[in-house]
Amino acid sequence: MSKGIICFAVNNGSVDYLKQARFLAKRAKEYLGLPVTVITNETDYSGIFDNVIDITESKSNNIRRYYNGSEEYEVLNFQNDSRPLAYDLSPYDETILVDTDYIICSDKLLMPFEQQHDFMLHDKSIDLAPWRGSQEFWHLNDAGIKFYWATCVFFRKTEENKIFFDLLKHIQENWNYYNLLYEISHPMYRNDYAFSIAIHILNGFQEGEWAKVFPRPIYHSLDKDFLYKIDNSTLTLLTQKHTEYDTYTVTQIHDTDVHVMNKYSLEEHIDV
Amino acid sequence: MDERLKKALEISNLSTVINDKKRLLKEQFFDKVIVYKHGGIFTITPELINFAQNLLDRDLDTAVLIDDNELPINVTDLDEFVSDLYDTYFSATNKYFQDYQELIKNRSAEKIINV
Repeated sequence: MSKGIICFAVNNGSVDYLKQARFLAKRAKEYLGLPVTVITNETDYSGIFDNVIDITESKSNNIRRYYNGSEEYEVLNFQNDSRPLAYDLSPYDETILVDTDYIICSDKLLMPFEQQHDFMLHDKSIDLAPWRGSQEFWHLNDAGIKFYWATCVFFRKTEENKIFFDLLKHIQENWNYYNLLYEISHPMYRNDYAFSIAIHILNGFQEGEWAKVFPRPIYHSLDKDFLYKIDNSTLTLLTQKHTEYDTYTVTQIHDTDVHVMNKYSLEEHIDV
Repeated sequence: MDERLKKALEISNLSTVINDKKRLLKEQFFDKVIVYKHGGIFTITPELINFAQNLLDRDLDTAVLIDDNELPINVTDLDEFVSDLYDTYFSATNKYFQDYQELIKNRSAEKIINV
């Protein structure tokens, strides 16, 4: 069975997702020895990828704030509407779908290939700034359904998984309806939300076990933190401090994959 | 030194850094005691080690164990399985111990966060 990593890199004129994807591919080869396929609308994708799949320009009208620390932000277009195509576009029998801002520092992503569940993702996270609590990543709203992360997803090519990704397309096409139905407080389409809704539906509109979860949470740092340094598998970050605005605490983590959401500071440290 | 880092190091108090580091060391220990075997996922605990060792002591070669997802997993090489449990668990505890000792030995944020 073929196995590999796929990622989506759709630039928005300010954030260079393709550069992030190159970095992801470099580290995927170093730590996992897996081939990487990038799905992009860019044309200058020389080098490191094993496979490049072109997609047409995104039609997404999403806009969101991209923070760079707790003080600065830009409001930019957020072209995240291609993710439901992951099943159709993946060239692998067994795929890890991962965000380009996920920094691989271990071989942990090899583990899902060794187990029997055909679809796995994270339902819990560890915020590198412990005080934040991150309730927004527990449920879709205060009385809402369980939240699942679409950042790092393992899937095999099975009929059931095809149904899941087709359902994602349906949810995306009818986002206004599902946004209202699940009482999401803002209109922006988010893959995490769409994945959570699709899982809820496949569970029979209740919590269930259709999707299996990785045994350990995903580690993340918000875009209100800074990535300060990458030294092989050691990441040093400045995490937003609780008590004062625009002040930070130094945090260091070793041999652990981290989802680093501050795209600006991530790009500063990319050496490809 | 980067001005942001300097400012952060000045403001950070030592206990915040130590507590944060302790928390991450603990979480990373739990990351390390997961094994994927025979299609199942097992979190290694002293209880699991003891149970599996007990089966082995009763001269069993094979046993069905319930994994983290509460699925039955047929462990066909119990001897090797138990050996892996010991190796993985003590490798994780030793690493945790070393990192923890290092942490409590260093009494400044700059030493704990080696930049």
